Amino acid sequence: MNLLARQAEALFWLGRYIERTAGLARILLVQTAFDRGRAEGTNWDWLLALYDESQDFHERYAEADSNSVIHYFVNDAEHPGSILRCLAAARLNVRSLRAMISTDFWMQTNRAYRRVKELPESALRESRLASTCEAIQIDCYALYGISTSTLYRDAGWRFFTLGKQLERADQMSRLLDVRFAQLQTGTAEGGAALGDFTHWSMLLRACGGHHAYRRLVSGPLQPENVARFLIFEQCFARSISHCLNETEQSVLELRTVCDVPTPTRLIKRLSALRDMIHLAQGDPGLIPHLHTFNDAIQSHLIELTNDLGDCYFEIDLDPSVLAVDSSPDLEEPEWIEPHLNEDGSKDNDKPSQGSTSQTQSQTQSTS
Amino acid sequence: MAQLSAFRDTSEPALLSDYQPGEFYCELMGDGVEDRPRLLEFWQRLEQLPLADLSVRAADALHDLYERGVTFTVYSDRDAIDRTLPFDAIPRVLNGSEWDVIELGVKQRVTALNLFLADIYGEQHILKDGVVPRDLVLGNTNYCPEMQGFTPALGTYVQIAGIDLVRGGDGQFYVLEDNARTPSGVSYVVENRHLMQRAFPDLLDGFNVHDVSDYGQKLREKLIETAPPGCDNPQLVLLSPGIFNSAYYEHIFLAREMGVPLVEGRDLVVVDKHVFAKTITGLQAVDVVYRRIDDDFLDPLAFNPDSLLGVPGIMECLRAGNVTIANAPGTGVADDKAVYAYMPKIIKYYLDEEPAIANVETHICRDAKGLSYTLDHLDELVIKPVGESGGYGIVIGPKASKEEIELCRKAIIARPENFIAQPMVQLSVCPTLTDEGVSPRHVDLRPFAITGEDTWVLPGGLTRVALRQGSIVVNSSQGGGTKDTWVLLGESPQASRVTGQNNQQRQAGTSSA
Repeated sequence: MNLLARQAEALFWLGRYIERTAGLARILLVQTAFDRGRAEGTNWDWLLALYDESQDFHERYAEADSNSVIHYFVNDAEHPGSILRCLAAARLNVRSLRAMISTDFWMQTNRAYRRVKELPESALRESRLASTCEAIQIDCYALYGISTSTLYRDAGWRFFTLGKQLERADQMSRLLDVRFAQLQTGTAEGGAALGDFTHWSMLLRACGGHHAYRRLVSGPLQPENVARFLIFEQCFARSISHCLNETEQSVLELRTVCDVPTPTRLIKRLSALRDMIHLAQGDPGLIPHLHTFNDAIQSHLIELTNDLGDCYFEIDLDPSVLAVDSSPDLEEPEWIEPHLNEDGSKDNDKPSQGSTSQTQSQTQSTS
Repeated sequence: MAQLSAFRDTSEPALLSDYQPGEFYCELMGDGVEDRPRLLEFWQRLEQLPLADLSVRAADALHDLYERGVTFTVYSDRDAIDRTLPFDAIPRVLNGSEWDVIELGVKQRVTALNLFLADIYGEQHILKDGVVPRDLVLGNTNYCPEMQGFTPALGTYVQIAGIDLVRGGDGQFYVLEDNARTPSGVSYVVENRHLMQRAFPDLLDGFNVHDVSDYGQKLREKLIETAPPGCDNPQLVLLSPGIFNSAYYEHIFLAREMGVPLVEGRDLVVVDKHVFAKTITGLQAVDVVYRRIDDDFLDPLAFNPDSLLGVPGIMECLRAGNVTIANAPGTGVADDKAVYAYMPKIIKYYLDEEPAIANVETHICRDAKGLSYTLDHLDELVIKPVGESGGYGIVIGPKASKEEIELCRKAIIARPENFIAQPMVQLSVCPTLTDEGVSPRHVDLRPFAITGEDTWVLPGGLTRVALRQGSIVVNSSQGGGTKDTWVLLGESPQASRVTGQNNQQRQAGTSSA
């Protein structure tokens, strides 16, 4: 029998929750380790902007200082986006998947969850936060390692990968956008986004790309180069392009390896995304419009998640439907060459002006 | 080898030196009349192990179970969804001839249960012949009128049975209870053995013990045998109420061992009297459902309309002969505590045989005679509500307070048909690791039988142990633990003599190392 729709969905969200946990732990680690020695003091506000959670935060906390923001993001049981809640949600999904995953995966999920659940207050102090976050990050890497070594390579593996890659693309797009969004909406100082060397350096570190970037580019940090690296660099595992290619690859494998039909709308969505990335890469005016670009990416990612749900997780109750839903041929993904310093000689089209919806709901109910 | 350290340092006190089973039959020592232990070779093996070492390893083994998620939920403790069932490291050992009787008796019992069910949902000869009272069956809350006039494949209603046995002071086994609905615990039989092999290889080494690890494959085989006739390459699924069910770990275990999908009610749907599973490619047909959910919740259209756990319309599919549900709905009438009292007669009626394993004497309070005897002897009897499971609501006369006895008396007088009474069986004991050292604790035994074209009994079973001193309630929901259960191949552990030599060689090896 094929994978149950419910289990496919659980694997997809499991991938998302682990990736979100790892991303959050890394961002907190970088924030506490590198955002230092600035005249205006350490800024914790931007973390709230990153996940659009300012409003929720201020309903329960008076001030966005280090203590409150750290607690909010690490182990606030009432905050659905906290590491604690993400790991709890991941664990709930793993629990429902236990018949098809390894005992080792279950054991590591429990270790990761218990570490955060049982964190002493002292582990959340700014002075200790770095090592706490490092440990959480390593727990997530261990989960990826165990999944790579033990997860059965059927359709389930592809859904797990889809969740991981979509979440990773989403996180990168949010990271890139946070300062630009503030700029465009007038909440940040003029010129801060492009000229702030520290910001771009920290961004690179927040996504573990500092050394990869240095391998490719020497000399002083150029904001545009950094942005293009984070969006387009195929060799960088967290670039948006890379994540989307992996996404496309997984969908392709569902059909070619797992014999799961690929509905047309999913193929259309993926090729629209690919076209958009391609156009953006050739656009010399991309950087000033980065916020618009990110908006478009975000809404595409939301739609893609909805498409996956409609195509695979919500099942048509008429048994005759499955016979006719054959898939058209999926094109091979078009690999985009990395061109870090290219000025864009082909299309000068601006990135598509997608919807400006910025409200991504990450609350998947898993009861 | 690592386990060498476990062998005796002669300066330490022996494990069993203080062990006193008292007036009870002991699974290790026997009835105490003979001057040597019943299982001499095993006794000698235990004697070689230092107690402190065994306790530390037992604690490690328990932690290991927790880490692996071999857990059981206790309903009274909502927060603790993951709890391990306490495991005792000293196994319960049965020799070959004892097992032969158990196997025979369990097969006989399951055969009779299936014939009884086919009859009461069919022609009802046994009721017409007055062997079992008509209203006891037809008026039973577990009787399922929806099953009338329909016979499942091979006439198998009870594919999976767990027959609870106890050993009395006379050393004989008795049937305490039949479990013909959704008996649980078999995962512990297998997991306990695996744990034993990991943590106590030195205890097992050299004994010729029946393997228990092929239960899943046998179960799959037997369930497939009961697929609807004419079904080509039947698709089997295990239907679980979900992650909050107390036996969820067992559902995972069985689905994995059988290699079948673990589904919940929301994964299944009925179209045109056929059951389908919702998969990523659409609906796929399901032919056999091993359900671990009670009758009441199975089909909201046929039974409890509020059930969110079941599959609406699945009873129609069953009656149309399009799906097999294991165990069939309505088997609860056969394992009812009141019907239990008639089992010897039921066996005689269908098989013309005497029970290979006797019942515990039972007084049925719905009968005037049984009622008056029960009320006159409340302080000597064990009172059990019928239709309950899991050890809930049992009153043990000799251990109850005056108030409890009087409450119980009122309850019986109000609804006599709800109760049976049994004399207090002097449950056998087994040496068990406790805080005070190795002490006798009461045990029972639940062998598991699976039935397709014929019946197969897993050579082993779940030994439950009442960990509290003096307690005879072994239910896992009431603080009981479990032991590994060994069925030895052959009459006595022949291999142990060889083991003895091995030990000597090893000890020699140690001293030279």
